Amino acid sequence: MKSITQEDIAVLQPKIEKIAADYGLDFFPVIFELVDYDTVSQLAAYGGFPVRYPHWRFGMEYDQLSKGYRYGLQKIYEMVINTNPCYAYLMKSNPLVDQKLVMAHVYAHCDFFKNNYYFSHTNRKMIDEMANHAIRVRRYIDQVGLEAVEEFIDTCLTLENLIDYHSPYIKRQADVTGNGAVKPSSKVAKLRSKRYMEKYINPPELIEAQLEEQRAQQHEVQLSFPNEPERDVLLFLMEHAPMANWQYDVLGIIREEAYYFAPQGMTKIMNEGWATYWHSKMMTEKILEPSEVIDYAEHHSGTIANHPGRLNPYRMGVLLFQNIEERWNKGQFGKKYDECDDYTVKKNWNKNLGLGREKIFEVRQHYNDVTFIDTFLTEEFCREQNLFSFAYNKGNKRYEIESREFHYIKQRLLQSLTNLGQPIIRVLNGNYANRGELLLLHEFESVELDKNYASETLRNLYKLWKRPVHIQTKLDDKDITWDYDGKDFKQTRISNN
Amino acid sequence: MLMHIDNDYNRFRQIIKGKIKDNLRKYISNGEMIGRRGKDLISIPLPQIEIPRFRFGNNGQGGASEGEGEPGDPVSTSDDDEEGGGQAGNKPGQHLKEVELTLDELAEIIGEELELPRIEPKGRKQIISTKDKYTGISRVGPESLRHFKKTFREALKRQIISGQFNMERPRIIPIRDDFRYRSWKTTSLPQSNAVIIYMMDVSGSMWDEQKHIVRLETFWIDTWLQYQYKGLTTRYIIHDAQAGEVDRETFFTVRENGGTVISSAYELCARVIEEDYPADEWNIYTFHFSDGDNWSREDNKACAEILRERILPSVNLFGYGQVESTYGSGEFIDFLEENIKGDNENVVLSYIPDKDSIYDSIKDFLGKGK
Amino acid sequence: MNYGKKILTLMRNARSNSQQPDAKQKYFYIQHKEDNYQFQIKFKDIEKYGVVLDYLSITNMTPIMDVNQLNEALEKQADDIQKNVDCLPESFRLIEMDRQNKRVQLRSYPPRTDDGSKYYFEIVLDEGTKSHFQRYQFSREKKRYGKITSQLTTDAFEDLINQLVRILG
Repeated sequence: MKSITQEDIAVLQPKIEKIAADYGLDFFPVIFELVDYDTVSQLAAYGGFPVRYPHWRFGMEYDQLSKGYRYGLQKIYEMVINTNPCYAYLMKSNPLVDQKLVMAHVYAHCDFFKNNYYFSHTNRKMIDEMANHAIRVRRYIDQVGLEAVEEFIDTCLTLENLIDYHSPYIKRQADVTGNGAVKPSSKVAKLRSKRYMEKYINPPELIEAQLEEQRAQQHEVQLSFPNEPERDVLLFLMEHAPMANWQYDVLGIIREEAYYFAPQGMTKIMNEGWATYWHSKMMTEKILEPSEVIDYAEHHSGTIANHPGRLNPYRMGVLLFQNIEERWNKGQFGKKYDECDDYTVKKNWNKNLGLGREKIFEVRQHYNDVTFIDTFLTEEFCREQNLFSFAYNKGNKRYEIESREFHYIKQRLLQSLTNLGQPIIRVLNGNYANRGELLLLHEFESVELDKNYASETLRNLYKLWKRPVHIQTKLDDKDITWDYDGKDFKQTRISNN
Repeated sequence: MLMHIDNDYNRFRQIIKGKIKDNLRKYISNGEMIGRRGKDLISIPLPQIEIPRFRFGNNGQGGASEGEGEPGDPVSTSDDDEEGGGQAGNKPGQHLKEVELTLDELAEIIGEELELPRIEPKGRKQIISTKDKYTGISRVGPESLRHFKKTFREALKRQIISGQFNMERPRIIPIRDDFRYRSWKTTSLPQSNAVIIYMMDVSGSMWDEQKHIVRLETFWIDTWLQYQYKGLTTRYIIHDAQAGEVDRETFFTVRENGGTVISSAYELCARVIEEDYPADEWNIYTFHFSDGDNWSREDNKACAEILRERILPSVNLFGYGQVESTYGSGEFIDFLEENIKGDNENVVLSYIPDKDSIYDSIKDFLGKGK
Repeated sequence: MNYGKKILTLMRNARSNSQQPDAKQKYFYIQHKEDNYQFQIKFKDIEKYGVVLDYLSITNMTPIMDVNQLNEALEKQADDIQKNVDCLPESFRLIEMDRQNKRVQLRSYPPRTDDGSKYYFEIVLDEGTKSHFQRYQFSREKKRYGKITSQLTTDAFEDLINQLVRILG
């Protein structure tokens, strides 16, 4: 097979771009690059970016991705990043029909990035921002050493998911992203020094000791804070945990990047569904040559294949979008339709409204996975797609099919999507027991926390807070805290009075 | 595309190695690496590499999926197969519970941790093979050895730092200072003719537990010696009252309940050496494992004679590991200590009461650099 | 014929005839032929209910000449000891059966452990005609095993002799 060149792509691109635009897709300029597998593995390890700050976990992910390819376990077809212009990477080794499909897919992703509400506050110049983060972290490594910075990053990463996912606005109470961020709450008197002299004139240990003292004083006057339980735990830590300037900046970088990636996690089903909807429409209606149909069908069906026991976001998303389009074309919505309880009438309901296309564009603009499922998943859809809910059976320690009833399925789906399927945790008190200890609250819904992971995470949190740390949760329907005081991990029952 | 992934990757490997070193004693004595060994790679469980987070446990957990089945039927969940499949690159913080190492990397780790000296191959008609090995990167070198990737990376780094790099119109122009070259070292490798002859007492008093210990011992000895000599041959002799040569599989699985006549194994071992491995061409390693409960003193004497006259003069190393059985441990090790060890540099006697002692025993055996 | 009783009498006689003042340090040694059997006993002491034994050897003086017969006898005797020697606090298990050297080794199973040390009886059968009984201790400190004395009741000892004689045929 003749391998694809950048010239081939250059010939294809305007055609596909025009088709996409004619359908009404609205995207940033797209830059396609043909890369080999090794490069795409590196990019994937870096979350799609050419430059990230130095950290071993990127190496670990690269190790797994490149191995996955060698062993034939997994294959990356494409990668798009949410930037303006939008960079998209195509695998050199893929045949032409795959490239066409992927390019169509990419234009739809890019439309989604540009128009979906939850992406509206992301930094579209993130490539530069990431490169900037890398430079800053390297500078700190030069100053305080690789191990100190690495250990601190490891610590921060265990808390990386403790941000307010459903708030699209990253709070800027503290200006955490400016170049060489300076910690605003830090009022420790420092001798003015040239940067390269910094660590000699103001030894970090000394500064930290002073900060510690300052914080202790602060706690004396404040009995309990924050006033409202704080969802953005990272921000709270930046404002209140005793840290050196470089640590403050690194934590800010981690937080900034976590917010950048958050919308992608929140719109996985929609974003992939949208892209799959459009590549399939564009390919079958406009792009495919007759000779390519078989290859296309093979790839496309691979994309939306169902894997028993796990939800394929591409499949779920595309089927729901198609379902919405059909319903709005036929007028299967609204009070009258909902109140009709004659199955045959409902099934044949068709008012020929033709509102489907308009509706799906509106949906891609205003929804995220949680609201998408909450609003558009129907009982009929669950039945047609043979969906079921499953749950953990404590008795025999396995996952079992729970029900095929609509409300169970919907509730379990929403549960697995809410907060990206992670526990919701807030800061309850930064002056717990009036001893400057930190108390987090797990907002218990129905799923218990994993104790081993909680224990390990508290250990890391202690490294930042430097005083005992606690998390309040429920275990066997009883309120408890897990506590770590720097030496021992224990469990305390909370008396309910 | 120019990226720093090499640095992150190397750092990752370094961290893995460090963690394996920290837990080496455990890995050596619990044997979980056996059976995880492929031709060149070994996979090692390493949950410590995972970045912990607050996450849900199983109680109360659930989800939705599609397919056939009735309520109450078990479902496989994504947790079951998170290692393979799935869409790549979109799951930050995947759980990694195993890492892979090459056998050479593993050997390096045990070498460093047990402070094993590199082996000096025997003298006499020694064939030294030399090999040019590209070992690193240097700032000077011949143009033919210029490392383009590294050179470009240096240039990119410089341009980013100096603000000359335009992400939207990336142009990388290396200058003299950015040039990097492969550097190499000519290393002498010991000649590759090396053989290990393992002997094991499979008499009735050697039970599965003892044989398991022997299996672990041989695993680490193999790993180290394979690293020292490329192309290693291994032979296996079992004995109770009689000795026989068997294949590897049989060596570890055979069940006998015969008596213990150790000289039968030494006799066969001596014959194998005399027939197949001329001492001036081969580096010969012999290891014998037993609970030390030889049938008779006369046989002890026969053993001493064969060792002294036919085995020790030919071998780099004769290692005797006495494994404690359900009934304790016999006197054969004392006999060897008194009658053989003496001035023989190439004799190592190691007492192995339990699995936890394998670590020290390996160190005994391989710590001489023979 | 109750060989056990007879041997006990001989042992008591040896003990009371002893001229040795420091009897504690001394072993008594008896060799006795009765019918077709030879008994060798090394012991430290004997009193009304107990005996402190070093070893007991019993030989059937008619050798088994046929090799097949001999192998058969070895297996039968090993089996017999595992099943029928019931006078001691520990039962026996076949450890090694050396057909080449016509030797069988049986030991207490499981051995008695105490503070890291292990204690067990051993019976070695040779040539289908000879049995040798001895107790061993494996000491954790010395990491080796060595012979020790057995403390047996005279009843148990008597039964042991009679059972072994029966097993030797």
